[in-house]
Amino acid sequence: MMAALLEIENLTRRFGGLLAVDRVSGHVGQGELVGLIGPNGAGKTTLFNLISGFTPPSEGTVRFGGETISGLKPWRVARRGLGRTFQNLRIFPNMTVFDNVSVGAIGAVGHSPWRSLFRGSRGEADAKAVSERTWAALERVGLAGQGHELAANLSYGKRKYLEIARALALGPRLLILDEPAAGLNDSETADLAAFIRGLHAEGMTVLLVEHDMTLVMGICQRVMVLASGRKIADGTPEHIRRDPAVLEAYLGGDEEDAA
Amino acid sequence: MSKRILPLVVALTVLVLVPALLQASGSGYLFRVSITAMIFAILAASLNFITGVAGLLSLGHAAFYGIGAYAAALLATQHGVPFLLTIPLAGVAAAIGGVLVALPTMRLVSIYFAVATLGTGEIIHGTLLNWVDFTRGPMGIPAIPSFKVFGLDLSGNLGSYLVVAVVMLASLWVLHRLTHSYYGNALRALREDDQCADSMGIDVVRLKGEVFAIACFFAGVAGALWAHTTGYISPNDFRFGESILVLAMIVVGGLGSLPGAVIGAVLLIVLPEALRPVGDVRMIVVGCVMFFSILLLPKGLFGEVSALNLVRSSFGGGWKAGSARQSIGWR
Repeated sequence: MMAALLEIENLTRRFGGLLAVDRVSGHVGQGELVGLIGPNGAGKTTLFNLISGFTPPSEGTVRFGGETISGLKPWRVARRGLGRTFQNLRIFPNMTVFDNVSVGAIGAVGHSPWRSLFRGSRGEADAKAVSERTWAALERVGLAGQGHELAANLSYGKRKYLEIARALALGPRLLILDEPAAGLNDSETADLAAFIRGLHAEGMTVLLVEHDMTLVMGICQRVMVLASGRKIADGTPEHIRRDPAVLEAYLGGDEEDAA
Repeated sequence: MSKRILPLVVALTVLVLVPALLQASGSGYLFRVSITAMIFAILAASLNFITGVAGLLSLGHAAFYGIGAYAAALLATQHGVPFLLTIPLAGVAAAIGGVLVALPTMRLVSIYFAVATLGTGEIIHGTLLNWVDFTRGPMGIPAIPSFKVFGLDLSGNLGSYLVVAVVMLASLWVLHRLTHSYYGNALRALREDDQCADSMGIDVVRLKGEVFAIACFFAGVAGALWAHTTGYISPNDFRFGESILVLAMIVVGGLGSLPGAVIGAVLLIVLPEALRPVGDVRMIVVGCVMFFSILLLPKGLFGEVSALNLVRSSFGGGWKAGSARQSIGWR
């Protein structure tokens, strides 16, 4: 078995009387491509926020690369190498495509007013590192030709790649994609699937949080299933497809659509 | 345009061309207007750093301007400190004030932050007005010495103009370096979406504190220049109205744009003076200029996008990727 890069243990989050995430444990190994699925309201987003530091856990711990990260602020978690995208696209609309992606690189390299002001050897080295990381991430997602355009002028599909590039510029050890296929048509989803597979083939560890089963089942090596805040299954896509608890949650449940 | 020409043109205009014309006119009044315009250019540039670049709407900027003015005035009149020291010390006093305001209001966003800064602005104005033992209250501080150092008398029109011009250029240079760099990108990300910037590894809390300290430092410097050049200050110079005037300057000029802030400041100081011949309706004309400039140019007279492109191309700020023709990043 591969060494676990991300380990979560008995993670619990209560909002008043509501148990949004209930004693969830699991791991993502180095180099794995793992899916996290579940019907709406299953607790995927809360679990994501617990991992990325937006929400402190009520109980339990999150370990990343062997170190406990639960309780750390999001920017500290990010600097340890956790890159993420957002479900409802959060680009910086009034900044250029290049400047958007540079923010991830700045997060990795650090920001100091003194170095930007005096631009001595360290300041110049920082700026060069940010520029080069940004450029490499833009080239990786195929947006290098549009670096000078305002992000607001990009098409919806390209904004998704912009977000991924921004997370890549951080130089993440783990990339968490939050519902990347939302709002994409079938052919765009297929392109995205190929892109994610490509990243994984290059050695990137990816956690794909999805509402949509097809994308996850198509590309992930392993899938975790959440329902009502609990992890109800964890295994290969073939195993998940036949798991009665999963079928119950997705098909036997109330209004859930497995679109 | 070559990379070095534009900064040189700016420096020569401010330090040679304008003072030569003013000197030729022989008008003390025109010198006074120019000095005021430059002081407000520093104020507008510093508020633009907080509000335009980092997106924190501050309605209390005049208070930090006031702290700087009082710090300089008290140091100069009561302790005989020379202006070369009162100017940076006034900046430090205002920066400390700024950090003290920023700390408790850090978690507030948008309009809530704005109202908190409005409140702190009123507190500081109220303190200047009512702490009579220290600030002499509504009587103000008279007889603030002008610029004199090492026997060199810079208190005349030309001397004062040049001191203010040099301090303004230095202030704008610092704000230019910070705005037009990856540090500036981090600030713009904070303005666009602070939670998202947070999850990209940007230390949002530290940035907000730094932005307030830096911008308030320059507001304090502007206050010191005001104190030394007018010779008399009172709390009435640093009211809510001044904060709003500076805010109008940066909105008319273009939020987030450093050249826009300077253009807005010069316009809103020079225009009312230039319109004196039209008499009573001049403030209506000024109001109309503001109204129509926002209506027709909501991004400002010199918007952020144009400003950033200009700096990348003509101030040598841009970074070029291997094959690309256009500058995109920052150096």
